[in-house]
Parts: sequence; C-alpha cells; structure tokens
Amino acid sequence: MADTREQYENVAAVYWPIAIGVFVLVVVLIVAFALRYRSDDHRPVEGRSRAEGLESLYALGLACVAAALAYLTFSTMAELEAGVPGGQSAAGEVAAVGPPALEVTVTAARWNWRFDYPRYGITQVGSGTRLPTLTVPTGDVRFAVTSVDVVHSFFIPEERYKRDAFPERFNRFGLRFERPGFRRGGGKCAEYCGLRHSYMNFDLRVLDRAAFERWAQAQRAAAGGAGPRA
Amino acid sequence: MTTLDAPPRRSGTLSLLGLFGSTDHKHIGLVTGLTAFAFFLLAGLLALLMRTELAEPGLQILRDDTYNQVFTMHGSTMFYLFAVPLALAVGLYLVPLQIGAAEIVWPRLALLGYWLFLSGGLIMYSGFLTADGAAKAAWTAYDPLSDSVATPEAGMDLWIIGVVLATVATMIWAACVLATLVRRRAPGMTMLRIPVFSWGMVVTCLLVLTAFPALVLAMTLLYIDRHFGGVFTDPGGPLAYQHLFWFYGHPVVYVVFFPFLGAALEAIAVCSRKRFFGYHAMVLSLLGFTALSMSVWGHHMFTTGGVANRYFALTSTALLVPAGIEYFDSLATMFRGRIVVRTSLLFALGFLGLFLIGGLTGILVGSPPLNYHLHDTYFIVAHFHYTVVGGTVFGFFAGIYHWFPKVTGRILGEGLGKINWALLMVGTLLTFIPQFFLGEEGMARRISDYPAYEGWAGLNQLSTVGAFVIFLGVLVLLINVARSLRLGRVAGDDPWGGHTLEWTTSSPPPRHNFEALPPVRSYAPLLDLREERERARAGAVALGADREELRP
Repeated sequence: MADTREQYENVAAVYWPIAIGVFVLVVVLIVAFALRYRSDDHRPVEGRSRAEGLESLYALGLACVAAALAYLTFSTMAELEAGVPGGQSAAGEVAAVGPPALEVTVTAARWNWRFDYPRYGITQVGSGTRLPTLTVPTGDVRFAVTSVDVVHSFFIPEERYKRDAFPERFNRFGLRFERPGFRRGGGKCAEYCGLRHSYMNFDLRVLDRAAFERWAQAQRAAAGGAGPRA
Repeated sequence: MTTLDAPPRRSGTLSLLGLFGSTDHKHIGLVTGLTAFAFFLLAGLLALLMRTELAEPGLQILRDDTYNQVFTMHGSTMFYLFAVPLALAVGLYLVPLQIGAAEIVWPRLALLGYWLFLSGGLIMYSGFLTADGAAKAAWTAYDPLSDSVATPEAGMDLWIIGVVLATVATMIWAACVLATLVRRRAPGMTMLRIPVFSWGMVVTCLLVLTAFPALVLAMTLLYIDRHFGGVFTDPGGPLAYQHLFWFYGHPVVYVVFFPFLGAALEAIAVCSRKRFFGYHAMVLSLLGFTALSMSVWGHHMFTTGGVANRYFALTSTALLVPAGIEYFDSLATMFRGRIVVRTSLLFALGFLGLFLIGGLTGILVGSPPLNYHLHDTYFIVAHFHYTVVGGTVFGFFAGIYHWFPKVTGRILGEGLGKINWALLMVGTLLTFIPQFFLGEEGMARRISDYPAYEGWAGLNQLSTVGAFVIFLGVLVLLINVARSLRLGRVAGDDPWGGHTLEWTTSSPPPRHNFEALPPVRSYAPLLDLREERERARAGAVALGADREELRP
C-alpha cells in the first residue's frame, strides 16, 4: 500500500515547477512584446505569418512534455493501486509482507459518518452534538466506503486523498497513517450533499499499534461485543 | 457609408416590436447578449452574497438553506443563462458580418431561441417565489441529491425546465450559426479563409450540437425520475447520471471559451497591426481541442472509482498541445508587430495570462494522484474561475471594447476602459489566488461555513475583498458604456484598421449588412487591401511617379 501523501508530494514536485516556469515565461514574453513593439506607426506590418515546420516541431515538443507527465502520473497510480483489492496491480503483495491491514467500513449518511471495524465488532458514530471520530492505528488501513442516501465523499486532507461514497456501492482503497495524534475536523465530506454538508466533518485519531489495540479492546468490552471476527 | 462626423445611423426602428420581434440577426444577437449580461449581473450579486458570508466563520447573513440556493443559482446562471447564451449571441451578431453574409440561416428559428432562453431563465428564477425557494442541488444536480426524496421542492422542477429551455435555445442558435458558416460565406471565402473568431464559432457550434443533447437527455430523465421514478434507481444510476452530465459538462467549458478566445485573438492581431500568425495551425488546434474536449469528461469523476482514470488523465494532459499552439500563435502575432495598447488589447493579454493560470492548474488536476486531494475543494473553484473569468469574461470584455464601435457607432472611453481593466485584473487575482491555498489546505467547496479552528478566515477575507473589486470593475464598464453611448467618439466604419469584413460596412451595419464586398483572398481581406495600397504607394515612390496624386 502506498503513502498517498508522499505520492501527492512527488507528483506535485514535478508538476508545480513546470507550471510556474511556463507561466512566468509566457507572462514575461507578453509584457516584453507589448513594451518592445509599441509603435505609433499606423501602417500594417508585412512579414511572415506562418511557420508550419516550426510549429510542428513545437507541437511535437509539447506532446513529449504531455507524454512525460502522463508517464509520471501513470507510474504513481500503479504504486497507489498496488495491493488494493480491485486495483489494477498485483493484489496481495502487502499481505505477504506484514500482518493483514486493519479494515474499516465507512458509511456516509446525511449528515453523519459511521465507522465499522469488522475485526473488532466495533461501531463508531457521531451524535447530534459531537463529531464522529475515526480512530486508526499507524501503518496501513484499508477502507471500504459507501453511502446510505446521496453521494458523499470521504476526504482526509492530511492524507491528500478522497474517495466518493455511493449508495449501494463500495469503493475500496488503502491509506497509510504515519504520525500518531488527534486531528480535530481532520476528515470532511467533499461532495455536496445538501442542507448540512458544511458540517459533515469527522475527527481523526491516529494511535500507535499497541494503543490502538488497547482502545479497540476497551471499545469492544464497552459494547459487550463477542470475540474478534477476523 | 457614414462619414466620420455624421451621427451613427440607426439600423431598424427602436420600437419594442423591433427589439423583441425583429428577425435581423444583429437584433437577435444584441438582445440575447444584453439579456445574458443581465443574468451575469444577477449571478454576480449572488457571488457577492456568498463571498460576504464566507468572510468569517459562522453564519452572518445567510442561512444554510439560502446559501445552498444562492451558490446553485450562481453556477446555474453563469453557465446556462450567461456564458453559453452569450457565446452564441456574439456568434449570431458577428458571424454573418465576418463572413460577408446578409443574414443568418433560419432567422425566425433564432428568434424562437431567444424566447425559449428568456422563458427558461425566468422559469429557473421563479423558484425563488415558491415556498421552499429555488433549486439547491448545485449546477450539476447530481442524482440522488436531485431526486424526489432528497430534494422534493418545486424549485428543482422549475430549474430542470429552465435548463432544458435554455439548452434547446442554445442548440437552435448553434444550428443557425453553423448553417450560416457553411452556406452563406461571401464569394471567395473558403472554409480556410474564415476569420479566426468565426472559426472559433464553427467549433463552438460543433460542440453544442454534439454534446448538449446529452444534457437535455439527462434533464429529461431526471424529470421523469422525480415524477414517475425508476430511472436512476439501479446501483449504477448515480454514476450514469454523472456520465451523462459531464459528457455535456466538459465540452460546455470549451463552448464558453472558443468564441472569446477568437475575440481576444482578433483584438491582438488588429492591435499588433499584423496578420494573425499561424492561421492554419490555429484552425487545426481548434479542431484538435474540440475532438479532445469530447473525450475528457471522466476527469470530473476521478474520485468516483467508476471511470478509467488513466484514459481520462491521458486525454486531459494531451490538451496542453492545442493550448500550447494557441499561445504560440498569439505571441508570434505580437512579435515584431506595431503594437498599439488599447483597452481591447489589455483585456486580450489579460485573457492570455489569467486563462493560463486556469489551464496550467487544469493540467495539475488532470493528474489523478493530485486530483484525489484537490477535487471538490476550493482549488477546483479557483482553477475553473480562472478559465471562465480569465477566459470567458476577459475575452468577452476584449470583444466589447473591440466591437462596441461596430455595434453602436461610438467608441468606448479609453480612460475608463483602462480603469475597468485594472480593477478586473486586480480583482480576479485577489479573489481566486487565495482559493488555491484554501483548497490545498482542504477547504471543501459548496460549504456555507467553516470552523474557526481551521484558520481560513484571512485567506477568505482577501478573496471577499477581491470579489468586491471585480464588482467595481464591472460597474466602471457600465458607466463607460452609458457615457460612451451619448458622448463617445463617433467611430466611422473602421476605427481600428480592422482585418475582417465587418469593418468594411457602416457602424452600426444596415439591415442587410453590406452594400458592397471587397474581394476575399485570405482570412484578413481588409488587411490585404491595405497592404496592396501600401505596396502601390511604395512602388510609386520608388518609380518616381506623380506624388501629387498620392498625397491625401
């Protein structure tokens, strides 16, 4: 499973300098031409008005840039999808390396979130006065996202990742959490879903593995749940 | 033809019947454009309401429900009732003049289009008069949010009817303009001598006629689903709706871009006193743009998990090729020109610079690993506002300053024009640059409020101030127009040294546009004539011919 935040930074580190470079170059040329070629001479300028050869070469150059960007994007996507069931790369790679990642089922509803942990038989949900909290261990976590009504979107800005929640469908993906800690409003609904869309946030709590295990057992005991299902 | 000192001649009568019932393409184009501009002002006021609300955390002036109506109607108005009708309106007015036609094809159909458009707009806005208010499912009206369970209100139905009427009107106009371009060109004007602006209209009409039926279909299905059920109920239904919507929803961005790109390019060529550079490459790039833009819609759906992300990432990135040609040709046209810096040129250059921000960030969000974070945040809001404010509005304003003399017979004030330009430049940068940062920090779009602990108030306040600067800029344009209609310098036939046929007739043009047409041997027939005159003069001087005869 890939680190979505790192992938985002890697791609952005290539795209942004190119974008800013092109922008500066074009703006400098526009301003330079507008100043340099100002003239009060009203006669039209006769001169070359076509350069098909040059423009073909230029278009070829642009196509190469597009191809390079697409290559970077595609190879990053391949890393993102590696190990995610339903992804397009070799599934199961991750399972062979470490213990199977925790799975969380995320159910979005107008205007609340429910987080189910099938392995522990735990359910977390927000109330009218309190935001729901997504508690995860450090390391890889698998998500399956769905909705009970309209389209929502499960968005964790810190992970640089979001995925839409559709009714009667599951979207599956993996995220890697690095830093333990509590992030108030660290998750949001990104897809407009009606009246209280603005407030459909959740808190994010990342615990280290041992602390997460303690938290999960305590939750299970409090809920009077049965043994681990996984 | 008018002489320089004579007052501008009025074409047709100014009776109410003439204004709203005339089949003159200039009247239809002008009335459509003015109506669209009125909707622009209305939607702009809605934007000010939103920006005021967002200046601080907490709700100050709107309730959540009202805010949702306001942003829905802002987006819907800007696309369905302003930008798209305006794109076709400038085509209705200018295309026959640029290609030397006396009329458009099917003028009465075009007039019907105006009435459909106006009724569509009024019906959409009549939602505000219902008990539950206007539509509030965003301009995209995603199912199931827009279905009869989540949004049972009547405002939604009125919105659907309004969208269908305005879209059918657009399709009618596109048919008229395209038929005119194909059938009514002046003798000598081959397809590859159609001026750049009118080529922009060719591809605009192609996009409207191929992509817009998908919207009419989506809206019809949505209406049936709301009232009879069973259309989008399948688990794949919501995704199918998004496909139908974006099959229209991406091409529409180019529909509101090409005509204004054309306007900016005409202004650049005329103000550079030089033939437009790379005409053939530009025509190819427009056609390439059009073909590609029909196959990129899935990039609006990268996060749905329901489209082939690689395919749409590839086609979206490939858009930089035709866009690069467009920039190359614009710069090459200015290169070694004799540039006169008029307001029309300033807006055209502003168009290039601001649209570039939108285009480059578009390449960024066309990459799925970046899109997964930036999608549906304020980054996207900023990105597409640089394409529609930088592209549509700046291109349109370049066109206003360029063609106002042709339409009214008087020239817009240059002093106020430059203030107009400066305010809009500053306003557009100040409003939308902070939104890139807000989006990067994770501020989702379409929210009426944000928690104070996010620390987004400062950037939002900058953005709000910017919105009011834009408002001032638009106000200056209105003052300039009102002033110039009475006091503006009389334009004459051709105040700029234009390149294309519309500058050969009087301002405003007579009912059937032309009394005589010059020969058409290129995409800049008037420039050909001027160059010939210059050559003849230079040749005569070189030969020592009778100079008295040449002296004016």
